[in-house]
Amino acid sequence: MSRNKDILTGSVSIALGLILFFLSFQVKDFASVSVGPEFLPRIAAVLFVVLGGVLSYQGLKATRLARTTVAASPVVKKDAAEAKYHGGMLPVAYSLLVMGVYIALLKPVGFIITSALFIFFQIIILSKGLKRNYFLFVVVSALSSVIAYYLFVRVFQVMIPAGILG
Amino acid sequence: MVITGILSIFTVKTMILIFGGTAIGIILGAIPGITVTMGVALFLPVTFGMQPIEALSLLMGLYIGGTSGGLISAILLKIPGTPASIATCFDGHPMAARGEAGKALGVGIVYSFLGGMFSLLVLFFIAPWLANVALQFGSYEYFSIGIFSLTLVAGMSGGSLVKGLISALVGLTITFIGMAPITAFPRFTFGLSELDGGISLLPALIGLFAVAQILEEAEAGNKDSKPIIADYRIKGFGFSLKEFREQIGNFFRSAAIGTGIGILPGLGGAICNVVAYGAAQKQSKYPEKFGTGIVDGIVASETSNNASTGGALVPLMTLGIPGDNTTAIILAGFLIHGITPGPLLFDTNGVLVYGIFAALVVSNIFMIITEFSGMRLFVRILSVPKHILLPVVAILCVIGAYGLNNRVFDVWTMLFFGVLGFVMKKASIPSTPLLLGFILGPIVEIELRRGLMKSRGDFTPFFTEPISGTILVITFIVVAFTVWGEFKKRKLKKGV
Repeated sequence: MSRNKDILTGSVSIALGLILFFLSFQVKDFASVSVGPEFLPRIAAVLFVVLGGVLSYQGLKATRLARTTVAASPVVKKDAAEAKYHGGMLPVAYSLLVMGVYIALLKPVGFIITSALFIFFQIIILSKGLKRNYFLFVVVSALSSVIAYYLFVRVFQVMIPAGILG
Repeated sequence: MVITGILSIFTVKTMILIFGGTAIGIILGAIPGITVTMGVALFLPVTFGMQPIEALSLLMGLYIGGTSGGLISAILLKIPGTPASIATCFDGHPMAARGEAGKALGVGIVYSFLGGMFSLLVLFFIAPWLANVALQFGSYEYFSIGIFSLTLVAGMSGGSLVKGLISALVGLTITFIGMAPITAFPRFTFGLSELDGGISLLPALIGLFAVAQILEEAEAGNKDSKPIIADYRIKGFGFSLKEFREQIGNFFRSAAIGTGIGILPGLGGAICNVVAYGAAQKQSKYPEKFGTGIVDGIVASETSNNASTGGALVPLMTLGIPGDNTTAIILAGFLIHGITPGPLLFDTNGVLVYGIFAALVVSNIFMIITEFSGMRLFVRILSVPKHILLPVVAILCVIGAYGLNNRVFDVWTMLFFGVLGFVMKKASIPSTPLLLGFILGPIVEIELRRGLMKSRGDFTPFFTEPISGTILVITFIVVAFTVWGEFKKRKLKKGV
């Protein structure tokens, strides 16, 4: 599994190098400098491709080796109970969604309202499989966003979007 | 200058900030899932409105407290509160399981303090000297140091040199965005005017170290088991004078390892505690007892991780290169207040430098007092569930990213780096090289081009100038050794 991941990572690295290399031709500068602003990006691009190649090659070789020596490794079955508490990729995707909406609404709606909603939903996402105390969640969400807002604006003098409440 | 600097922190406000920073640092360090780096990043926005010495005193308090605080959960819960106390679990928890939690905590706290103070002495004497040497450095030397730091971190922080280098390259590439150095032509901005100034350090750091962590916790999910906390009362210091005398050799070795690794750019507590533990075991007369709950293991781990704090500040304050992840955030703290750490710092801001030294000493003293007297409180806070804590941490991240320039764009940057950090973790690519590439990228590029201007396009001075050449040779040796080591490891695997 981790070997296949290395092949993937290596390929991404090669792709990054190629993209960087082509983009570097769009960089403009005074004409007559031998080492200009496109020099280091191009070096980096070449290194990306080389390192990506090495990593993919290592991954490929290791996969072959694993195939010949280990016929089949015992598949560990996950406990049903454990799976209930294991997050997996879905909570990550939900978290990103909630964070994205939060940031998008931050300026128009304001810090307090969006933060309170964000905290509430993020707690719900992270408390997968646990007993949920919704009353506590609401109190924590509301209190922490209000306290954070006034603490930072009044005491620490940091600008935070006030939005529709401001 | 030295005395003015030291006196500058003895105001009520600064003292409260150091004390508060240390206490909060201990708590954040003790809570698994919140690292010292994350804690310091969260508190950066708090310092926006402060005087530089107040701000840096607070950050130093958090750094010292946080690095030590990890031992509490390492011993009581068998979960390292921060990566810097991984090796503390090895012997700390067996001891606690035997009913000697108080002793384990006492040893951990005292040696944290001693290790921290040892490294501060080193910082106090080495930093001004090194700054003086660094004043002579020109473009060639800075370029070589940059390359050396990047390869060193790439080789040592993840196990795979190739992955480490890819990570460093990603960091380097991100710095290409924005105005190119020297000629100030925008490049790689994709037409976005927000990118003209490049990507700000702070949102990137918060994303990499805080948001990525939240995503990881979301993926890991919950284990619905209440942690069992052992009896944590400490009698006296928890250990005898005889035991103290037996550990003197171990202490100095671990302190030297911690400070030394701390000084190396990008490598800090997370690595040195394991190295020091390994060294203590190897040198011990009874290596088989390690892991069963002996004092030696805790001494090695806790001495070295706190000894790395003073060490990590050496390159930061003399060269502007962070010695570990947390000092990278502290670097951002300096920059926010318009101070650029580097060899000139000792000339232009000498009072501030010695103020920071004093703040570090005071913070270490606060740390030992607070941990001995406030253990009951810290243990109680450990039981705050992560699923409630992390979302609150997230909104503080947003304040930190937004508050710097009052742009939502920076918050998006933070999220982008959070995702990047998470994906890299999944691909087992270490994030420290990226961080260092990001910080050193501009230095490497500017100095390369400046050096080439000076030599009229000739590359040879980078190799023939004595200091620069030596550093590049060392870099080459490090790479050769790492490659050889990986090669041997692979062969060994094949043989089995």
